[in-house]
Amino acid sequence: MESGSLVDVRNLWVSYKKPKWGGLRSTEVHVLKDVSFRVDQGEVYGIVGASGSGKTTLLRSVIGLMRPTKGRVLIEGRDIYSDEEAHREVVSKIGYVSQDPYSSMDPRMRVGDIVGEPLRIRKVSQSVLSKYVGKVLELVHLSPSVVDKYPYQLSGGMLQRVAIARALILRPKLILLDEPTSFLDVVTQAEILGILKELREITGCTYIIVSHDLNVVTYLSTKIAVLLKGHIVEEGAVDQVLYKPLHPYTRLLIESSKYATSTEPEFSDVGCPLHKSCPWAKSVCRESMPPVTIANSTKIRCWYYT
Amino acid sequence: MDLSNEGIVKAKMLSIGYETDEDILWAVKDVSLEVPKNSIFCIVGESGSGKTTLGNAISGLLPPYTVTRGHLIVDNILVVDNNKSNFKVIRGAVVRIPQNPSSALNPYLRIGAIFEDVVKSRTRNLTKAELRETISKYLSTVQLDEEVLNLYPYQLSGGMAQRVAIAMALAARPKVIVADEPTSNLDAYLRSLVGNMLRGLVKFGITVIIITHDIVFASHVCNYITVMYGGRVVEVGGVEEVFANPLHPYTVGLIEAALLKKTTVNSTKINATEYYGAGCVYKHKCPHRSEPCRVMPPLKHVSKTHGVACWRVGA
Amino acid sequence: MNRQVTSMLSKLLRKSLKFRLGFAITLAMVLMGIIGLVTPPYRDEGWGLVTPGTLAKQGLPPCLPLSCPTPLHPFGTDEMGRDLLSRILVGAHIALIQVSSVLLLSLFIGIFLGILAGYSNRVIEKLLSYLTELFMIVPSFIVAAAFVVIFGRGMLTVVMALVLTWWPWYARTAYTIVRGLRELDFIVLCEVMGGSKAYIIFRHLLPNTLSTILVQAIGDSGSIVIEMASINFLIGSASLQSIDMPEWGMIMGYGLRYIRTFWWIVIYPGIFLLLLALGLILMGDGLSEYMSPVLRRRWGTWI
Repeated sequence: MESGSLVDVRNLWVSYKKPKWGGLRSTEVHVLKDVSFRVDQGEVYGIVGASGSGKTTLLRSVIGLMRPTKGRVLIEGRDIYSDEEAHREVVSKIGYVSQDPYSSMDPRMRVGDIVGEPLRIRKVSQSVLSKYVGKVLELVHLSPSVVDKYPYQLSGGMLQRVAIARALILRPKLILLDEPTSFLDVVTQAEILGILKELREITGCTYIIVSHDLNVVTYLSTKIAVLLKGHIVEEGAVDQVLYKPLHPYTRLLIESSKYATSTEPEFSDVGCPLHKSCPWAKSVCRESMPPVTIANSTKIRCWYYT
Repeated sequence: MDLSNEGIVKAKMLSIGYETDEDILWAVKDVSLEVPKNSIFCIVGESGSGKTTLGNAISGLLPPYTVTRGHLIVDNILVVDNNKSNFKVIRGAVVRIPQNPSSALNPYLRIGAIFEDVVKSRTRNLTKAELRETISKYLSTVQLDEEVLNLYPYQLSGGMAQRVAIAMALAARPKVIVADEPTSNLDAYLRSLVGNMLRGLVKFGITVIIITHDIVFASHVCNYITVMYGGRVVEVGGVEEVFANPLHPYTVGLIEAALLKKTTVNSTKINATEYYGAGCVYKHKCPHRSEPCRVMPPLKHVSKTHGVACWRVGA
Repeated sequence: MNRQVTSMLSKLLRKSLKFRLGFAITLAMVLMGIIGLVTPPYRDEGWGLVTPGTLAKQGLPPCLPLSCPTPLHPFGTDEMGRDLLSRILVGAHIALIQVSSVLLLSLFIGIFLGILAGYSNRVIEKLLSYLTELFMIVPSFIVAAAFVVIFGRGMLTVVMALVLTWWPWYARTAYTIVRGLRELDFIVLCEVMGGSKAYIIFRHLLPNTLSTILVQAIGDSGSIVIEMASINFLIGSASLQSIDMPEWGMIMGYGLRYIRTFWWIVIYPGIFLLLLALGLILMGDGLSEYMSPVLRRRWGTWI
């Protein structure tokens, strides 16, 4: 029951009901299938996944927004879905930076109020609040004059910094980042990633970052997991996975980021999702999903290695 | 790629601005460039650099409240002549693939129906069989199945939507295709796929202009590259020479940022768009700024194709 | 927020001819209302009370406008000899109070129920939706007629009837806005951070809803004025005795039977009614043009 890890996800299955045409019956669509991973304090756990892989759902289930169909999510050793109190105490202290900075803040609130909101909800006095807001804005290298501005007056990059500042203000142990730079151009992206790296060194915070861009994930992470259609197919230390990738999907991702391939793989819902376009596909790949095995100190799910 | 011909798109000191409540906001200022026929030409810059406005001008899709100065010539037709502009004449010669293709299609029609409209608008008197054949020909160039014709736009995934858009742009048989941020929000392997497809368009005799902020994508896909900042062109040239030897400090910074080699934490508290004062447009961020930078440097060529707007280069 | 409002107001006044015109007219009406409240020329007659002086004039043909000897009655007198100008002035302030009450009450009820419907569980949502649809169907005139029968002819009756028919529109708008806002990241994040429902409603949902609805409400005010006057018109024309309350619609309604001879009793209040509605509509139009970013761009080309 105890786990030394900060985040411990065990056999997580998340699905939603898709209503069938006609209304009454519905099919269950699995977004995450048997996902398990552990994140220890101080790590940066990066999850790479294409659109439709379930990466946003994964993050939302870690922060307590998506009740799993099966499996558990333990944060600091406490199951956040079965324990109401744990849910309130633990979850409210997790920082979250979402993809689109403009929709993650109230357009009618000033930046100062937005950043200080987590404290205001906890009924902290205005003077103390302002002090913390000032401190945290300094950490993301924003001038104190932004406090009076509205979101529409700031650029995407500056807003994302505001979002990071808001995530930091409670001094959380864990920050979740959902595609934090995909709406930003390359220059701003580099700035934000630089800030995140610097912050980690200063605060010792743990990150879980999700992105479809392999470069972004590898820049920050200590450990990477590759998410394919709801399954984690490879997980290991960053250098291992990047320079000695095992799973064919990981290889595809790496080659694409170097512009070395140009095919769109076809995914299937039965068996291993990659079997239709995998160079190593065997008949068993068509039938069922491979189990988790360990090869070269990386966790992998591929029939080729079993 | 035809170097002997004059460029199919030429801009001479082109400026485009938007009227606001108080005055005119210049999105593009004094831009001069030449796009060689049958090449793949990239306009690279961050948000606010004016690249989208320039791309819109070339495709003939500027809103009516824009002000123009300078000259823009597309396919030997004078499109912008100081403050007179006539964009209607080039519609058809230039086709634009928008940033979010699936939302630019009529959501009530199937792809097949939309496609037929496009083909029929260019060639009259096609029989049903010929129509279907033409459409499948275009689909095969983008590696799509005929099944996609039965789908509605919202059912298309990002990669499919981009490819459908490319096929439709082809079907309109233009001379120039302008692709606006073709890789935004696309997964990594789709980027290289779309990139290759755009490259393949030149064999149809089409000139491709790509507007993007992703300079790595540009380096793999394009022949020529123009770097814009703050509405001005700061560097132009062939892709290999610019990457081998980037001259403008902004280009250097852009390449380093894209490769995540250097992530300097920039404590600028100013929006890029607010700094269009006199002088070099990059001076507030430039590590090498000095006296002469109080005046905006003109574009000077160091080789036939490679040019840069910086006082530190050239005599 | 005040800074925003004043800057918006000054921009509107500077740029939009429509708004300037509407604002000027409405302001004039407000001034009229203030005069009517404080110093109408014939105070008692303004409020519809019948003074000995007017009683003395009964039986005599009422004065024609601009042709009476002193005491002056610029707009003439009505069939009971009461000065029409005073009645119109007092009527101005009554009209403004009525419009404001209808707006404020229906906004209050509508927004409250709309937000509740949009941010609660399914059961409450369905219940409130049905309630809203029910009230939306009922036409204001029928309700007003019923209320007059039950509660009598006073100001409150018509206001209540209109509030009951107008709140569903605002409720529906608020509901739609809240449903859209609910899915946005910042609301979801606030819930995760531990914000209570009440906090989210007052801090986030309400300000965002209010800004859209207020613009709509100001645009609606013109229609409300006319609707109210129409109801009062019917009440007035159906009435057998002369009416005390100098509401413009009612004056017109009761004066209808004299239109062939003493035409000014209908025409003058009618003109002012028209002006007030016009002013409010122009203001509302100018405001919504300002809000709509598409139309704003065109300002350089049109007005």
